Amino acid sequence: MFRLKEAKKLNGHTPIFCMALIACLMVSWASTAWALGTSAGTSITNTATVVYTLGSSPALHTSSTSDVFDVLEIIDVTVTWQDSADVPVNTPHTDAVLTFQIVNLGNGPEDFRLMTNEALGGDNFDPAVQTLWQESNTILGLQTSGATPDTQYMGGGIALNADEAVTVYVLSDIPAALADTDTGHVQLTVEALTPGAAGAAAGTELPGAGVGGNAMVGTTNADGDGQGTYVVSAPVVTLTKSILQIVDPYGGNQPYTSAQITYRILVDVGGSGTAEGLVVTDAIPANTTYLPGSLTLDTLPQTDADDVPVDNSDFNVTNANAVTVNIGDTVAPATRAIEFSVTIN
Amino acid sequence: MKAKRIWILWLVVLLAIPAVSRAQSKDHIQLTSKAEVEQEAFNAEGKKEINRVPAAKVVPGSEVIFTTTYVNTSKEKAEKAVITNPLPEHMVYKENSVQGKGTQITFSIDNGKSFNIPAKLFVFDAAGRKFPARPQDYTHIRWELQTPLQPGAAGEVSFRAILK
Repeated sequence: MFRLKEAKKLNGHTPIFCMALIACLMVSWASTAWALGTSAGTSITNTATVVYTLGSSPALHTSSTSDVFDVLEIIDVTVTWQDSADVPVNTPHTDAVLTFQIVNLGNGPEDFRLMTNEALGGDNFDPAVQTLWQESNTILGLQTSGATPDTQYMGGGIALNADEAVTVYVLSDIPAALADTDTGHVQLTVEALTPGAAGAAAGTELPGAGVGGNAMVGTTNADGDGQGTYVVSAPVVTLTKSILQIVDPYGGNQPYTSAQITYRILVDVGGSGTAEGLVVTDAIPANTTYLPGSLTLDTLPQTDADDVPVDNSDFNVTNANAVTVNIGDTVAPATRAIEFSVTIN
Repeated sequence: MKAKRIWILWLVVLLAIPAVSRAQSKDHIQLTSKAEVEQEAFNAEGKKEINRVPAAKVVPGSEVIFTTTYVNTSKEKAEKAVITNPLPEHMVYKENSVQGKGTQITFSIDNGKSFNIPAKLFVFDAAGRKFPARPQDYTHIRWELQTPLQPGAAGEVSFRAILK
């Protein structure tokens, strides 16, 4: 709340005061935005006072009166899918993560049960939900292992205080042999555990179920669901090897002994998504000898030594008698060209 | 021994009488405050009607009607009577809900330091811009009785507020 008096002072030139006021305002805005409702069980008191003079007596008289009632508990919850876009997955894919947020919109503490449903319409495949996790450490994102992993949901209820929010991760396995851009939906359903609450009509009163009295079912019917979507974003890597040219010792292009053959491998990353850690290895053909220093990637010369960070390519180091080109993470669509030469023995 | 006890008892009674009478005579205007909510119900003819019941099932967003009844229980007329009601904590005034026959009604947005009519109440944002005060800025409501309250005369003032 903004007071008239403070506002006038703000126009004065006392920077420290202004900064302090702004800081207070920010705190008050933040708390206003978060505090959704008065806590269940809070006593509300109304007091009126009258001041007056009586007949011949000029003295002031005062009297007052109060009335009190308690705030009833209301049970409300909401679930929202948090990923900004469909979550890209491979086919198959293990433990692909969807992120949801559950908020206790009620004004009292409540336990909530989680359920998932994959058999939904409007998609191409059914993800197989494996596990649910509750964000419980201070590290952003899901950690299923390590010193302080997040908490796996093993049934029962998640306890949330009034206005409290929790992030929930749904991990699903994605079937094999799906087509690129195929989608699969997962619905996360949350129900208040107070008996009789979930699914009840708004306004239903539950005797003795609230903080210090009855509880009432709110407009969300004490349950909620959110739907998240996986999309198959499978990169398709195609290698095409061809002979770029043959130079024979006689000035022609025949594969005679001592002729030099230059090969080209076209690495095509099609489909969608990212081909992660792409490494191309090609063995030197039998009866030929690698021509030292002939390896190129997209026409850029590559050294034969394994000498990161000069380049990520080598000959006969990572793999015996073979060229190895570490292209790395490649976002589809992309095409890379590897070339090298050999001499016919 | 017994006689001494009776004397002490008498002393206690005699001392208590003026104290009681003082307490009774103090409140020449008696106030009664009540908090109510509206409830839909069907009457005997099966028609829907709205009844007021004591505030009990109040949840965030609920509208509560606060009514204060005043009555002059003295034998003299009360003058310059001013009833002041701070907005209860956790409650926001509902616009245009205030009532009070024969009173001049003003509001405060500075915790009761000053009062004015809504058209003359302003707040300022961080940039110093002036805005009309909103119902959620109100901190107090005041009713000034326009005529003296005669002995035995009564009336009521009220407002509605919404639970945050």
